[in-house]
Amino acid sequence: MSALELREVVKTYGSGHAEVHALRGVSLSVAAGQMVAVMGPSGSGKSTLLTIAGSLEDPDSGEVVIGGRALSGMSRNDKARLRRRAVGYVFQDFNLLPGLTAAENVGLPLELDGTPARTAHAAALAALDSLGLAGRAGLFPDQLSGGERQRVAIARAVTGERSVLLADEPSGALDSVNAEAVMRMIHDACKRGVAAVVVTHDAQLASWADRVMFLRDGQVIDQTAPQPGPETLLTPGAQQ
Amino acid sequence: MSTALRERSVPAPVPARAGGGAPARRAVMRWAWRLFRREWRQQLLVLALITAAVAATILGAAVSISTPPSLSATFGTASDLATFHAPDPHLNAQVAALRQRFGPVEVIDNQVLPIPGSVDSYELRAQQPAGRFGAAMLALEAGHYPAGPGQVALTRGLAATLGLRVGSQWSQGGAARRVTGIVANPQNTLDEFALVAPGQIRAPSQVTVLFNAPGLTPATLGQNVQDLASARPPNAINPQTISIAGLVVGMLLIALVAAGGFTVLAQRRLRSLGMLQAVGATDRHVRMVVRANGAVTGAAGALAGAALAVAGWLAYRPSLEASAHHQIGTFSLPWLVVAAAMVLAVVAAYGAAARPARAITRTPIAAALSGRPVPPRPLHRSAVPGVALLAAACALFALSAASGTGPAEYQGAGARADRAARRGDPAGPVRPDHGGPAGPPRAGRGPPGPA
Amino acid sequence: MSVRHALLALLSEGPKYGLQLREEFEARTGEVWPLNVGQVYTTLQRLERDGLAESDGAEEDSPQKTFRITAGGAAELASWLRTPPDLSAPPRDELVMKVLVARQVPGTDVREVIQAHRRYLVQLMQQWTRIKDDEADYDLSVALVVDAELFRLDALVRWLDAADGRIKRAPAQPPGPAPAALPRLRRRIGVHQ
Repeated sequence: MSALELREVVKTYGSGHAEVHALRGVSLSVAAGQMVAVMGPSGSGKSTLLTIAGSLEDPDSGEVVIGGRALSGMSRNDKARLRRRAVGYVFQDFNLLPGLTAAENVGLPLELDGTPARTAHAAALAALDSLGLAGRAGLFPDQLSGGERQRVAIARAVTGERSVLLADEPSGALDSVNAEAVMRMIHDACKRGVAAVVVTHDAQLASWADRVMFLRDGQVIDQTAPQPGPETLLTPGAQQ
Repeated sequence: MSTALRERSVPAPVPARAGGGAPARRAVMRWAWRLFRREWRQQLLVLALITAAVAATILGAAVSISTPPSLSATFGTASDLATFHAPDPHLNAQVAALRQRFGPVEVIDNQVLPIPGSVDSYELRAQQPAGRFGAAMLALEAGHYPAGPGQVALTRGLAATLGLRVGSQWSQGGAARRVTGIVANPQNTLDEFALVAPGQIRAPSQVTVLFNAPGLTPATLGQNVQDLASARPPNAINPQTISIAGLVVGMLLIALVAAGGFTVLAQRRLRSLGMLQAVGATDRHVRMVVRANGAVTGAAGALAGAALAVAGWLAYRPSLEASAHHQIGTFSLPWLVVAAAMVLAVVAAYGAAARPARAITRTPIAAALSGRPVPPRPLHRSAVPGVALLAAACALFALSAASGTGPAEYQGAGARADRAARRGDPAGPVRPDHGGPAGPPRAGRGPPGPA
Repeated sequence: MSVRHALLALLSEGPKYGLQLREEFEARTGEVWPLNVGQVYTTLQRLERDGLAESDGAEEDSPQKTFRITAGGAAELASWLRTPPDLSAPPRDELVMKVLVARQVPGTDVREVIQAHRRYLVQLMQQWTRIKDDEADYDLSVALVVDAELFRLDALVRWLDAADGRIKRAPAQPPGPAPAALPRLRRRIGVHQ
């Protein structure tokens, strides 16, 4: 059973001559432990795909199934619970609430789900510590660097045994060192069983995924083949 | 920097109650409080509005309650007052009957005497300085109270009129007395009289008896008996009621303006609120945050307004005492109005924040995150209620003009009543044509008659 | 690519024999550029001929023949490290050629061609990234070389995206020949040293 599944999702914005067909029947299936990258030019519908998969928006038609549960029959409260327990989201630039420290931000979904503040704080500290950010736990977002903010955001998205991670250009505003660190974190989460969908226009970041899907004008036009083992790359023959 | 994978040490979350329960509320409120502390400047306008309204209401109520002359100018601390006109053969018997029925009474004798060389007259009053009920009506400003025959104390104005000082000799009506002090009626500083010791007036023109008859209507006791309720001018609306009515109207207006202010605030916070929802906060949490912000702003405004009102009151009270002609206690603020104003401020602000709270939870989360508020639906409001209210207002204006009881009439009536009372007109003060109120009873004078 | 200077660099550490040079070269470049033994010996002979290296005088083609760097070789190596390579002449990139041609061949959907290449490049990059993930923490050379390859492939993908965008916005029919009035220039790019 796939951790996340989209079936023929359609989404249109606007009306009349200003109508924008963001998604025209997109289907996608991600198993646990898999990372799928979605590449495409701007306006191809990548971000809409992610917001619909993350229950932040409702599709006009089609199904979204997370962990076997369809989103279409869910109340708003059920969807909120889903976002607390099953789905973690990482945005490109604005992720952390400014009024809370890094640790409080990471522990927020746990607290919203009923975990007492102290337990949530301990869990948050443990998560930040495992990512090398223990020293920054008590700082506010405006005191952190961009790379640190993104890593804290990912920590928040994976804390609490969530099964799906959705990232929209998570390294978009970062330099290559921080970008690679962020992708490694997502990759490590996948090794632990998280199903991840990463939207990006950067091929280097997309190359971290098990499967890359290409989106254009709201439709999937292509996707990469399953990967062979790495040893096939190094065939004899000098590359001059 | 090594990001080598370590075993995940995140503990499993405690099984949650529906909606997250108390920890969720605490987390949301913690964020809301931090937000308020960081961004309180954005709410200064609404805060200032609420502060101003609360302060204005409290001050207005305090002034309007304290300004009218106090009934204790004539009643002292008693609840009932009986007036006997002299000469009355049954006076002593009736006083004894009152004493027997209601316990201790206080008797004040009055005699109106002309001021030599003037058309004005003054009042000679025999009253116990530390009387049971009348102590509130006397205050010593200089010298000492008259103790026995040959001693008199004058009010400052009367002393000036007669050209006397403490220690002067004063011949009056055949009696020679020495001025022993300057006194005043703190409850009515316009009250000019000469005070002598009890029993020093042989032929009083009027005797006032103060007593307490709780629970009995004065009519059952006699024609000449009044109590605090019957002595109040009829048709006079309790100033406290007016203040609270004004406060309610004011708060409604403020709530409307504040709703706009809170809406703008909520729009500014749209991204943060969207993020909160993306992390899993329910609609209830979001509404709670926005409304709590309203409540906190209301509470802050209420506190600031009350503090401002108290400060203003302390500053203004002395000049108010002078213009109202009676003593006003330092802390005689209408505490009921203060409490009501503060509570209403919080309620109004909380209510004003309710609409933006609902609007935010209707915005799709993705739109909130990108900071794009959903364009408001066009509103169709009928003009009928407004026109109807306007017509009603015009009708009321026309009605009051036709009946002719405008302010000018009242002032004229009041002045005429005042002069008649000073002259001791036995017919009582002239009543205006339309039967309007003619003021509370003056100390020692007869009641104004059926109004 | 300049193998001779890489061998000179290895020799600058100390005298080495031919097979050793080949093994060290491959190890130090992350096993990404395999080297032919014959190529090694030919290069060493040329170095000796140019006076940049010298051998210990054993017979020709003995596996034990040790080579040593000379003073002239050290100077040549230092100078080479600092000399920027000639990047001014764009190589005849086969991928660029394919896309240019696809525009002219009737019945060809250029964007479909571009997507096919894009997919292929991304698949390659996926494999390189897996190598980097596995080995980059332990071997800095591997990290550097794999990074270089990833950036190179990434650049091609980005060019494909740009080409895609330009073609999408361009008018439908292919443009005619340049107006005859403009003189045809042979373009030369260069940077004054």
